[in-house]
Order: sequence, then structure tokens, then C-alpha cells
Amino acid sequence: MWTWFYQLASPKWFYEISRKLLPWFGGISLLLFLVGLTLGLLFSPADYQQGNTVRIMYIHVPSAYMSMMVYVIMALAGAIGLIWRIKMAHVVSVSCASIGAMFTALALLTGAIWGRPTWGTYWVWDARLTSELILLFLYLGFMALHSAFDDKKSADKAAAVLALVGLVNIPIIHFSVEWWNTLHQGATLSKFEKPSMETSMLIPLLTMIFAFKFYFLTALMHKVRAEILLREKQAKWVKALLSVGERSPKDQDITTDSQILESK
Amino acid sequence: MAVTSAEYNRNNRLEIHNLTVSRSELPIFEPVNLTLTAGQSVQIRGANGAGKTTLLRAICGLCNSHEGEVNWNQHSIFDKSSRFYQDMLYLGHALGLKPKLTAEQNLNFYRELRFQPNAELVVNALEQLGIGAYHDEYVARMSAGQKRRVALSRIISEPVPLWILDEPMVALDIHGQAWLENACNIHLENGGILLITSHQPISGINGLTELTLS
Amino acid sequence: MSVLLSLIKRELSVVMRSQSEFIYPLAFFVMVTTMFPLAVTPEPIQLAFIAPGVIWVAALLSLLLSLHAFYQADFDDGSLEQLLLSGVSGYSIVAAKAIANWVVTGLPLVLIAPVIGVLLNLSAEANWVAMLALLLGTPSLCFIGAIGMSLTLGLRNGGVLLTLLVLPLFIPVLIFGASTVEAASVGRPFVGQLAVLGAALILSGVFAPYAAAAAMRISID
Repeated sequence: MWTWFYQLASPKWFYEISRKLLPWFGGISLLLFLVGLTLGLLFSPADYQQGNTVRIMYIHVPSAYMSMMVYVIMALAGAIGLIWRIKMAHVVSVSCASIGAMFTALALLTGAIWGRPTWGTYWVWDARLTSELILLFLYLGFMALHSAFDDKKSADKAAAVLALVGLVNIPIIHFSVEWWNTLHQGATLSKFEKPSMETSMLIPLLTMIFAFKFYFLTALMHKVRAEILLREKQAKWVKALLSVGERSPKDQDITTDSQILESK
Repeated sequence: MAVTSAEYNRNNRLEIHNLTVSRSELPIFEPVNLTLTAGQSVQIRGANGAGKTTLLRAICGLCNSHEGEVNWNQHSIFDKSSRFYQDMLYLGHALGLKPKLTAEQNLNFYRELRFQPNAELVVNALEQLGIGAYHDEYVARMSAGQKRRVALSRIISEPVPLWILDEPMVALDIHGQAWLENACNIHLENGGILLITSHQPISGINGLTELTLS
Repeated sequence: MSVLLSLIKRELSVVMRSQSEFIYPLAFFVMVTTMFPLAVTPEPIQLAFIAPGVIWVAALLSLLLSLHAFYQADFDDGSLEQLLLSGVSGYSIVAAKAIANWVVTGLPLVLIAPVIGVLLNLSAEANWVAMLALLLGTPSLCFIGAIGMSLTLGLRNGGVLLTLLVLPLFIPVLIFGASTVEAASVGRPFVGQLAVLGAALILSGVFAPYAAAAAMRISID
């Protein structure tokens, strides 16, 4: 079991195994998206108050959920990298950031789109939307900090510290914003609450959540693979991998042919 | 002339195993292996940019991306029980002097972090480096050479067995260099250990071995 | 403890030499708060309404500006690494800097806040509460700011990045601080909010130096 754990820390091993896993994860996520969207858009009931606009929930809720889950993964991966000095952990952590930021932006966007017909305005300072906005700032801060360092190792470590500080702060920020929001209840609405869940709504929602999870894993693997190639570019296996693409057998034949022609 | 009559522990031992530092995923120099015991000294040599300063900083434990081990008296330098940071002095390119404090204020502050206060020793140290008259001068008003000499005074005001000196000869005149070489010799006789870098060849230090970085 | 005291003493003596470091954040605070009546409205009732928020945002930004002076210089001239190399714990170094930062910038802000409160038509009762809230909140901001500052020490555009990193972390203190003053100004209970500010101070004072010290070692490379 420990061998597996050590293997996980090896970039080369990860690169090879992810090549095999990627099509599966991608395929599953695509399938789940199709099923979830069909069920959600076509086969689930409309809300008695909001009508069809409630269907945005099938994208908004999974995005918001993933935005937070990815942050936790990002911070924990960073912690593992800091404590056990495992490079792959940092690679995963850094690769999570832009995906998480995207989920957050999507949650905000769908929240705004949901808001327009529901309350007549694109933005309200609702506790959850405000917390989500702050989460976006935390992601952007992480990405900005990481890219500001010249040395990757220092960048990884600093970003990991920041992610952990952010992780500790997220419940505090969320609590503060919730509390602040109750003070100013006037502007907000209970309509933003999730509609009570009947099975016909719950199933598409859960499907979409899993679809997002598999999408995240697919996207993460892509990014991690790219990051591995970038970081290990001096390693023999990477050089071999990249040079295979440069000269295909076909090119070699042409060269030899022209050489033969010239020598005649 | 110089200095300290302190006798250092003859069992002191600095061990460096396979130490290497990377920048942008590439190691800067071949792994360094080195062991120094009481009375031994080494000059790190190498072309400009070969990583001499980085090596010294890595030995001090300042680098993020180092591989390998540095042990002081059988314990890792990062282990409190090794007392590495009680026993060493690193003087690098950045002098660590506050411009808005006087020379003696700077030195007294550093002295008091690890030793009992001794204002006379501090003034004595400055005198030995030829800047005794400036002891109450603000560092900001000093020339670059004088500033360097204030920083160097710490080898007198803070007697420790392990000296890690990065280009200490810079900005010293002939007399200054001779003084420093003599101070190093006395330090080594007392059982101290020395790591030093310099662009110029150093002739005056007894028993100086060389380590060239590649 | 004596190490901490001598570190604080050194911080103070270095910063006190350049009085500008002392004055700038204070001047900034006063000038920014003055902008609001000019930009929004001089109507007393409305000024009193926005006063708690204005005071807190201005205090927060002033403290953000003041962070630089306590950390960057030591990093640049090599003092920070010498401190770390003399066996002093990173925790003490950060704590000393944050405390000195508060004494030099935070405390004057607390003392001058009532003047601003009067300018912004805050009631006397609310003014006192504002001082108290700032007294509890500004040290937290110094400790939290230390983390951001330590992370960005070695970076080229550290200043701008610092703002981006630290503002989200300031939000809880901002929310509860402003709310304390606002509650006092309309006669509602505010002790709960003060308690939260106190808790934030204890949490940040105890834990922030760990994170900041780790960040310092990373920046020193």
C-alpha cells in the first residue's frame, strides 16, 4: 500500500496512469452531464413560485458546491506538499486554482442570471453570493501570488501557506457575512433558498453534482499533466516523450528519400 | 591584536551531505559533500554565478529548494538541539545593519540576542577594524567600506565557533585584509571552523582547503 | 519575553527615527475620511449614517499602507535574515513587528478617531464605542496584515498584491467593527460585536504569527 503512495508522488507514474484514466473520466462526465441536463431541463417540475427559472439551480448549485470543495482540496494538497515535501501535491494544488476560480465565477454568473427574473436585479448582497464573491478573491489571490514568484518551489510553498490561511478564514468570513446579512434583511429574499427537494428534482441535481465532480477530475488531470511536463522538462522521459512527436516515421522516410536522390 | 581568547569545543563538526540547490528545477551546482571539524577551514571557489553565495545560504538553512543535509554536531541544523544558530555567524552581501541606528547600536542589538551585553567589547571590535571613531555614527552616514567593516566587527563582538563569510575581503584595504586573515588564523587555532568565499586568492589563512563548485 | 521586548524596542527605535512613517498613515486616514462628506453629502444625518463604515474602511486602508515600513526594510537590508539566523523564533519576530506596527500606527488611529467622528457627526456615545472597537480591531488588522506582508516581501509588485491578498481576510473584522459603531449610534446593543472583535484579536494574535513566520522563511530564500 505504501508503494502505491510513493508512486503517487512520482510525476512520471501519474502522467502515465492519467493518460489511461482521462478518456474514462471525460466520458463519464459527459454522460452524466447529458443525463443530468436532460432530466433537469425536461423531466423535472418547475417551481410553483419561480417557474422555469428554477432550473438554473441545476448548474448554480453544483458550481457553488464545487467551488468550495475545490478550495478545500487545493488547501489540503498544499498542506501535504508543505508537510511531507511532496512535489506532486503542490502540482495538484496549483492546478486546482483556476478550475476552482472558474466554478466560482460560474456560480456567481448563474446566481446573477437567476436573480434577474426572480428579484428584478442582477446582484444582491445576499449572504451566499457575497461569500462566493469573496471566495473568488481568495482564488485570484492564490493565483496571483503563485505567479508572482520566480522560483517555483517558493511559489508553491507561499501559495500553500496562503491557501491554508484562506481555508481557516473561510468559515469565519462566511459566518461574518451571514451575520451581516441578517442585520440587513430588508433587501434579501427567501426566494433564493433552495426549493424543497422532491425526488424528481433531487435526482437531476445529484446527477449534475457528480457530473461536475467528474468534470473537475478530468480538467484537473489535464492541468496536472501539463504542469508535470512543464516542471519535469529536464527529465529524460519528458525529453523522450516530446521528441517522439517531433520526428514521425513519415518525416524520416522523406529525409532518407531525398538523401538517396541527392546521392545519385 | 585580535580578539577573542575563547576556546571553542574541539568536537564541533559540520557535515554537509549531497547538498544541492535548484533554481527553476535545475540544480545550480553538483551535490556538495564536506565535513569540517574544529580548526578546519575551506574556501569555496567557482566562477561568477556558480552559486557560491547560494551554497553558503543553503548551509545556513535559508534556501527553500535545497536537497541534501546539513548537520551540526550530529543533528540537523533545523533541529533545536543542534544549537546551530547559537554557534554560527553568517556575513553575506546584505549587511543587516539598520541605517538609522548607530554602529554600536546595531552591534549591541545583535550581541544581546545571543550573549550577555558587553558594550566595551563592541567598541573594541569597531576599533580593531579601524572604525572605533565612528562607533556612535549613524550607519546611513558611513561609506560602503565602513559599513562592511561594521558588519565584520561582529566576528569579534559575537564569538562563535562557526564563521560563514561571503566575500569578506571586498572593500577591505591591504591592512584590513591582513587583519582579517590574522583573525581567521586565531579563530582556527582556537578550534573554530571557517567557510569563506573570495574572488581573490587568499594566502594568509593557514590550512585553507579549497572546494570548487561545478 | 525579554527577547520579544528587545525586538519591539528595536522596531520602535528604527521607525521612530523617520517621523514620516509615523505621520503618513495618520494623514491618509484623516484625508480619506474627509473625502466622504465631499463626495457623498455633508448632510449631518446621512454623514452619521455612513460614519461607522467610513471610519473603519479608512482605518483599514491606513493600516494596510503602514505595513510596508515594518517589514520591507528589514528584508531589503538583510536584517531579517540575520534575525532568523540568530536563533530568534520567527514567531517572536513577527509578533514584535505587528505590535510595533500597532503602537506606531494603530494606537494613533484609535486616538484620532473621535476627531473624525465629530467631523462625521457621530454621536458622543458612538464615538467612545468607535474608539473601543478600533482599539480591539486595529491590532487584529496588524497581525493579519503581517501574513500578507510576509508572503509578498520578495516580490516585485508586492504592494498591489498585498492588498488583493489581505482585504478578504480583513472582512470579518470590518463587518463586526463597523457594526459595533453603527449599533451604538442607534442605541442598539453592541457588546456582542465587541466580544467578537475581542475573539478575533485573540485568534489573530495567537495564530497569525505562525503563518507569517512560515511565509517569511519562504520569502527569504
